Amino acid sequence: MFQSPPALFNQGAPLLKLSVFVSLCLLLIIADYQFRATEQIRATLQIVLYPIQIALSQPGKLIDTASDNLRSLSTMKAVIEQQTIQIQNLSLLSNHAEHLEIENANLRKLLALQQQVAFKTLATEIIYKPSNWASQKIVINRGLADGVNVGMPVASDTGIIGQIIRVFQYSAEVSLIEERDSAIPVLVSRNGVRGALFGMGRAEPLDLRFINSIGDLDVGDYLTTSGIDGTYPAGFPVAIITKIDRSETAGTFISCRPVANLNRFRHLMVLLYQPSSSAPNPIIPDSVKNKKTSKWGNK
Amino acid sequence: MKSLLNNMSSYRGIFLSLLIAFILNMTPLRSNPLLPDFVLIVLVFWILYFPETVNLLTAFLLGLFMDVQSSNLLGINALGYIIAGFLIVFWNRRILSASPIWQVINIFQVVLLVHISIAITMWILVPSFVFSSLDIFLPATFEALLWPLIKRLLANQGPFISRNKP
Repeated sequence: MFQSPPALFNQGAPLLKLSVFVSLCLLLIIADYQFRATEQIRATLQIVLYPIQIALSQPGKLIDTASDNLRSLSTMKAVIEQQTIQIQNLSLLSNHAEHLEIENANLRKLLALQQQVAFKTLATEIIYKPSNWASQKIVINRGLADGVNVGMPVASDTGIIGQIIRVFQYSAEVSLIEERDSAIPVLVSRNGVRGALFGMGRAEPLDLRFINSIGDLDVGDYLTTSGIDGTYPAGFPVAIITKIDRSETAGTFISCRPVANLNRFRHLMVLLYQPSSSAPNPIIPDSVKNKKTSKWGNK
Repeated sequence: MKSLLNNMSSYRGIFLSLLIAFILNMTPLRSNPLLPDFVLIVLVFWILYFPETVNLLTAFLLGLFMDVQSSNLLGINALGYIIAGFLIVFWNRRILSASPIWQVINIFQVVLLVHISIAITMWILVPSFVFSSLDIFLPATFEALLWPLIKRLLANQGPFISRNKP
């Protein structure tokens, strides 16, 4: 086959090489998972990958513009008319909201309550969804250069979709709310019952936990951010209760679905929200985390 | 693509094929767990036929890039690719002398071991990681079935390989 001696012999000692590389990998994995100490390496590699990612996102954009161009004039006119009406309605509402906001601020001052932090939003576009089935993330085209920081919430036009978990210079990774073990403090907007919403993995319903008065809940109730943790601003819609499983023995399971469609839109908003409290992030105890249940053969 | 690769020198061919495989891996389709890892199978080809040029270091670097791209734990794909590289070097003669069908089976063994070792490492380290047996077996099967195609596409680039054929 080959004239030269087989690779097993002229490569030196492959076993030694293997053990060196494998231990290097394990070191990296543990440094990444336990100590988050590899961000610099990641950022360096990302610099190389970024041009390819941007180049690859172009065809999709081209198709979008092409389909826009192919739309007939009359449909466009109808769309524009519809949007003008929508903008008029929204600006009326927003004027009213501004009025309410000022009133609210004054009342808060009178009652000596803590002031709500005002924040800006930053429009952004999804570059791609990483091909990683074990975690639910998307990558957006704003990064440190645009003032995006770790921990900022990300929303679509309908509701919260996730949180920034890693920033690079020109891009950032967003962990969606359906990611396993992600948690958002929420309250039921109808009656103010507080709880925490946990992600259960890809396309699984979200799980509402730590609810005191389960009897007050109903299918179809809206959950909004409560703002208690300081990470998410208060009052943004997150999810709707879809099913309440009351069982005598195992407790109650409350399934919810996100208000925002997590897998549909290209354009999102980063809420440039700097939490007002300086309290450290709470550590989720192991007893609360999802149990390790291997699904061998269940599928 | 065959004609594209035909006149390339071997280094450019290797680089280009790995780049194309990487781009295929970057497409949104791959967020489905059941689809094959193109980089893995192309890497296996080059390590099998050009162990002097494409070695464990290449596998390691490619794995790191794949980890950053898929926002996985840094090093998990690198670990898988290195195990693949080692197994290919170790079973070099056995795979090269096997008949085409046995070659597919041998490749299946290698990629299956890669997927199993990745799943086990994740399972030990990450408490919330869940997987099913399908997530391991289906991609390995598709990768093994891709092998004859990859071999045909890549082995035809110039006299580099055909010279060494018996």
